[in-house]
Amino acid sequence: MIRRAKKAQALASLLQDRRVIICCGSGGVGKTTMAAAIALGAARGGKKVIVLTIDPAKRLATALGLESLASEPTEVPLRLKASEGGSGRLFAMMLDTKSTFDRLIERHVVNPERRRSIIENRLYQHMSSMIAGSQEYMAMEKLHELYEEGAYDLLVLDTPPTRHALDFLEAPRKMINMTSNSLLEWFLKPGLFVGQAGLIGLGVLRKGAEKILSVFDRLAGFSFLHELSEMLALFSELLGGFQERARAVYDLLRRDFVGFLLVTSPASVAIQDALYFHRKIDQGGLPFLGFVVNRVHPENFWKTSDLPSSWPDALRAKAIARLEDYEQLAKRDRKAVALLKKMGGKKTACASIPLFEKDVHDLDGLSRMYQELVNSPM
Amino acid sequence: MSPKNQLDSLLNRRLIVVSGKGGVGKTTVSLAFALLAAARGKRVMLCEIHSEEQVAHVLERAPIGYKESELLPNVWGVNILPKQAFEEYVLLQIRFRGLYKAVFENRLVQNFIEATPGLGDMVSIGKVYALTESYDLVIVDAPATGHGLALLEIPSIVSQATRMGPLKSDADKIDRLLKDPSKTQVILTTLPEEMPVTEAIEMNLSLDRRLGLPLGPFFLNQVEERVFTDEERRRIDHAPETPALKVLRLLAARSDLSAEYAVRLEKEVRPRPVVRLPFVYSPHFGLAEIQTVAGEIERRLS
Repeated sequence: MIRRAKKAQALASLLQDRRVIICCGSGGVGKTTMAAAIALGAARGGKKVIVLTIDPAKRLATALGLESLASEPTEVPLRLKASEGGSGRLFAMMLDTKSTFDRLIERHVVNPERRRSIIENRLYQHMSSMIAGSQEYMAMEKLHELYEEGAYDLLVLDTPPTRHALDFLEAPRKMINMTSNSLLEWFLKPGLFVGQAGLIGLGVLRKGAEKILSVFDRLAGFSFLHELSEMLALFSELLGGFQERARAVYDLLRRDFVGFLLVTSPASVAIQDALYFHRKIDQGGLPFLGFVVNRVHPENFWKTSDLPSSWPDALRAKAIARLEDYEQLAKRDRKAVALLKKMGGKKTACASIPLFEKDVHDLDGLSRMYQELVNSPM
Repeated sequence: MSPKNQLDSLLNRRLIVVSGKGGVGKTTVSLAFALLAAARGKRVMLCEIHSEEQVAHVLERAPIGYKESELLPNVWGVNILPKQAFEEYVLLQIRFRGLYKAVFENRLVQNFIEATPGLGDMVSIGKVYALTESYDLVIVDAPATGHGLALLEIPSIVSQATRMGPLKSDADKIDRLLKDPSKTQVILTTLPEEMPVTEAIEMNLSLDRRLGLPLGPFFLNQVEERVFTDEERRRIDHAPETPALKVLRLLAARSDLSAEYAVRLEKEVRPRPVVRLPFVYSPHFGLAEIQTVAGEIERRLS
């Protein structure tokens, strides 16, 4: 028991220390709920907290006061009893890719004419709503912005439900690569190469460029290339700013007050994803807090004598079959947790949250989840 | 369509895209379809797209990678990696490896390609199209991002954005295949839980109306069947608390919840059929469990 209390303290104090907590993991494991639970727990503990969620379930969004697509921080009433007092406050906001993208343009593209031509560009219209990884870019953007504001004691970030953990971690690097790419420069000066005859001015470019452009022309036609280059030219102010911020985000993510929490379910696929994610966090030199295994079937040492003797045989038989089904899952979950501990190394914190009778979508449920998290035996 | 041949009618198409969010059982359903089609004598290709090799993991074999490999009798697999698919596509167009190397192995070009939105999806779906020409049935275990729909949307976007060139004509060809209900079927998989069901209902509205994609039945995975009668439930609720009773009450509450969500989905997507697949209780999920799921699909669709 002593050991149990000591280790449980460890994750609780790890959570206490951080100023930025990032919940990651594959889809459907309860990242959003976990992020909300941590934020609520910290706020009830007296901190000023903001949770940035992506696409929360409707009832959870309602519980957080986010029913009307709040892309601005919205305060969530903590509903504390007078005796619990405390000066903590909780804010929540939703990351909406499309509107964040448009806002980014509004903020960074000063010239209104230019702003309009970006918004009206056909490619922009298609891409801004579906750019692969744009959610990742936007999450980073927002995180950094809020951190710089310095108005909160703790930022909790829910990450996009992508299986490609890599996309999220690599968004800043990708953006740096793309914007510092001199190929982009060629696209940014469309007049240089997209002339009436197609290749006016090519002589000034390096030899490789000529080949590249002719290959692109053969594949998609110069008109497409022209449109692409136009869009990229229009984006240039935007991207220039992003490069700086992407670098700042890259640095921010490696500070010691940041912590990555890996949320997973005990299902084999999710565990594999979590391990993959863990390797990436490790390789990326990012500060890792620990694993949280959600919806665990705790071991239950039942006996057939637990069942009332008054029960008819048919019911007893069904009940025993169900108990055996449950045992299969408890066994699976025990193996899953053991695997995480083994692969994560001795010092890795690994909390288990039991499966609840109901899905969590209110403050009481979130509170219960937070308690399970900080009290979980490691 | 008589219920008798519902499954055959599905498997007689050229392309089945199994779509849905992460963790809802896409790989399980894809593999189950592959087994069912192979059992009918078809040569099946199961494609993953830029995946972490989920299929290989379930089958407990080495990663498949970008090489068409026979996984089980008549069941082939490939993990379509955008970078390789891109190389293959461009080589097909320009035919000179030297030129490809000079142009595309340039680090700047590589970075640019990596950062260009939609390009990876475009060449990946292009590869899927090419595979439909050499297999009886291609099953795509779609990526989890955005329900895997970005992948299905990209050909029409590329087609609208380009005016000429092979990229446009290829995009048009692929788009025609994707929208042809006699050849393609999109299967949406989901779970009997709050979020997944809500999303499935939203997808049902947008899929065929907005995107014009031929949507087939929904597959609701991991349904925990109600096993106790109301009378039995009352006995369980009133029995004294013991470890066994604690478990029984938890399971009963979960299966009630599961049933509620299943009913909600069925009601909201009507008349589109919802195929309920039961939760498989096993500490391990491998080929044997996939066979069980395939058996359940067969039982429910024939």
